[in-house]
Amino acid sequence: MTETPRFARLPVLPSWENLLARLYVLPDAVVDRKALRLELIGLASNESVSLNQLFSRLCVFLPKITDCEGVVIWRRNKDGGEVIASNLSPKKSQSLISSRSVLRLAKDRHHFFNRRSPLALQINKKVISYYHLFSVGVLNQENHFLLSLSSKPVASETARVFEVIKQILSLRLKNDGLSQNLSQQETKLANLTQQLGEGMAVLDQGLRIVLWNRALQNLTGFKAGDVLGKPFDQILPRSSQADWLTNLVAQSKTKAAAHLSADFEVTTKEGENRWVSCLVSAYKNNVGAIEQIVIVARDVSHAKNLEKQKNEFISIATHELRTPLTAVRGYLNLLERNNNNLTDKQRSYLAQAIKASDRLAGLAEDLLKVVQIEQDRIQFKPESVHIWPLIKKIVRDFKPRASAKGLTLSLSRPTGSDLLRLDPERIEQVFANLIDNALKYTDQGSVKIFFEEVAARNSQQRSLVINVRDTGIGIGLKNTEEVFRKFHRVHRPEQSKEQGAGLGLYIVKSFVEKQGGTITVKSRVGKGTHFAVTFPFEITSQRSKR
Amino acid sequence: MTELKKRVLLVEDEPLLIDLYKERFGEENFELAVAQDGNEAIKKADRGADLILLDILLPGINGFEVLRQLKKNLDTRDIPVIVLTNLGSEQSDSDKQLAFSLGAVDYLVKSYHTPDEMVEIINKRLD
Repeated sequence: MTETPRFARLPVLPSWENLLARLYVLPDAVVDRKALRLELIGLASNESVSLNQLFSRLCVFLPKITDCEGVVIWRRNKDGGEVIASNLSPKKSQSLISSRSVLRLAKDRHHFFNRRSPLALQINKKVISYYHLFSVGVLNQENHFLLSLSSKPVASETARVFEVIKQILSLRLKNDGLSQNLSQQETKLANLTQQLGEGMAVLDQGLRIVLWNRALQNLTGFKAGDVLGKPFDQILPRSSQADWLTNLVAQSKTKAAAHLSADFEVTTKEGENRWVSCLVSAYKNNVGAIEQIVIVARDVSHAKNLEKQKNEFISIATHELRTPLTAVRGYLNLLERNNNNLTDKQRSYLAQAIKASDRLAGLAEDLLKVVQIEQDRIQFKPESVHIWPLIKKIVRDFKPRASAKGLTLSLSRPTGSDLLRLDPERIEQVFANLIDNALKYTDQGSVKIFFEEVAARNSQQRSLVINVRDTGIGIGLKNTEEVFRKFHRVHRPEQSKEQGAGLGLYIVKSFVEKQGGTITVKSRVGKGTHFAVTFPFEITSQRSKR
Repeated sequence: MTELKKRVLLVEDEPLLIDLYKERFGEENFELAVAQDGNEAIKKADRGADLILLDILLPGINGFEVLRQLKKNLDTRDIPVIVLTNLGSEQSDSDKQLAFSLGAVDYLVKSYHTPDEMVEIINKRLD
């Protein structure tokens, strides 16, 4: 299992166990001090004992298990020496390490045994004649030293004990340095996460919250203390239509890391509804189980509200437009009925006015449809539909227009099944729109509608492709996908006499996708455009159930 | 012998459209009565009608409520009602569904249909 730096073991060479064993097996000529050594081993290997505690205990232990009488643990800094721990009085220990001879030796970081003591002092009524100095390591860029004192020169065995002690201490210093560094990094990271403008939460494999930053607290009203350790669902219940977390967990079963972005509505602690836009990523370990889920959330309530207001505005405005539009179209219709007294010129004016009012009516309906799509208010009533007769009827309706323009409009029969599960009314709108477009943007040649059967990759599922191909003015390759964007008009006015608001293909794509289909477009300028709409065949067993 | 003319009740509050429909429907072989709000519609329907064209957004009680009351009244419950409105859409729509569930026979969006088309629809219903 790959571990994150957070859980990485600190370097342990030589190992604690090894060092401590060495300390334990050292021969002891003086007395049986094994029990004391065992105690020291316990102390040194206990990570909950802080470095300073360990230093203080060493100053008590070392005189008991070796033949030295005094111990000073100190560090060298720019002002000289500073005592960290000692079994001597602060004054005595400070003057020892401040002596020129000790400071001079401390520059070298070597081991020095049996040096003549720079001070005349007594410990336990013994006159101290010798001192021993060695470096034990570096912490915070300061050298740490152990100075011990004895009345007589120490035995070589004591030197070996010191050697092991030195290794233990340098290891602890190194470990402490690394943990300090690590905890600084962690603090930095935690601060960064807390100060992040975006809301951030981390969930563990059980979807319980392990991190909850300040921005998320502000957004949801829940404090980190309220939520840590609790299931995410309990804090922010998901609405049924946006079960994104379950989707993500399902997705991550097949992928190394799964990402998802979704907007959903949450209820804050105060009961207020807010829209959040989330980026959710699931990370798995190498046996495929979800290790953690990271959620970055942004409050988009303001934008959502604006969008809602915009949609409401369009909806109201369009409804308001309908009444005068009804009157205009109605009176034009009356005028057309009684056009006997009109001159040819007046009749042509009338025809133009009718055409314009029809377009205005179409535009109003398209705008309403777009608003309904965006508010997810369009209802689809799927049923078993034979698509061929349905398209045949549309083609028949468009034939006169094609002939008037001198175009061939042809429909070939599917070779296999044409049974799909669709809302016939909506699908009629889709193909009427595609055929209408094809006729609009084709000045010569043909519009062909034909069928193909395809198998989906890695699946038994077969689909029917319904193609609408024209030999018209085409669309530049660069923006083929853009034709489906709202208010996007591909054809510049100088390229085509036809006008439109650029809503038709947006509606088409929405209708196709809402019914489980896909739509693609290929085109070459001057050669034509080819739309392909694909729907999976209805599964027979399902049909019999319904 | 004069044949008794069929009676169509138009419930509409917009003068522009009342004039338009009066103008066109006047050419046809049915009598047109107009009610400009919900209460007037219920009163006039009570006097008898063969078809009601009912707007939804009306002053006072709205078209849905008028429809509800017409269907409650034994004298008016059998008169076919076409909802004629500029609300909603003729495709699957909640307003359309509500109208049908209250007993309307059709749901037409005014701006979709020219007066000629309206006449055609009315005559079909009256036959």
